[in-house]
Amino acid sequence: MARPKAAHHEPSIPEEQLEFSNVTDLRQNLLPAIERIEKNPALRFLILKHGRPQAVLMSAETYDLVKKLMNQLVSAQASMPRAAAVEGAFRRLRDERGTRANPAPSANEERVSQQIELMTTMLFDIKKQLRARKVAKAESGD
Amino acid sequence: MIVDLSFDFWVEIQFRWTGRFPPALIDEIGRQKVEIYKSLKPDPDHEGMLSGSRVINVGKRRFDVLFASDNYQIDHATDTHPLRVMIIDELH
Repeated sequence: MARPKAAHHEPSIPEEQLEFSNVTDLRQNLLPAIERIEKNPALRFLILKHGRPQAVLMSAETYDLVKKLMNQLVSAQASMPRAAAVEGAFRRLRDERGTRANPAPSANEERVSQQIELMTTMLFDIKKQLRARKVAKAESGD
Repeated sequence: MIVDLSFDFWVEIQFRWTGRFPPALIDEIGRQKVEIYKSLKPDPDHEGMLSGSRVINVGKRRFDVLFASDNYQIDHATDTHPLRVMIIDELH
């Protein structure tokens, strides 16, 4: 039976879990979940199959936002010289030293947290660049 | 010996978000991982690291893949050796 339940690992994120074990379960619970997302666009459902996360259900607007962010990240990475990209990969690998002694879940959580930190820093930089570009444009227009 | 394959953050984005590389490339790297790990050499620019690159074919597409492994992250108790996919370049 599908059962929505609050995710307890990150209470600040409006994320719930939707567990299903067969297609009928999914069909019965999908429409109510979509209706709830329509009322609260920040809500998303982590869809579990036999207890394992398989997919995420989110509002189309939220997905558009994620797409924009990810595409900005990808553009920023694409413009990076290869040598800098290689050096960055080595730095991230070296930064993981000490995490492998505690295998799988905790090491993985640490890695995800580092990745989120990196993405946040990059997004902040992109935002700064965009703001600077906007100011420069406005000044040249004067 | 167990080789624990992982992917750099950006490689993962290219696989999971842009779809720039075919999923079969992951399978192929997985199939060759022990052989690849054994072929790595000490990296002169990165202390404690091994590195090496290899061209991997998937159908008609060819990819130059840079691998690295950090000696400090070897789990000697389980004889598990990490292997990281660092950068992938498609060859044309």
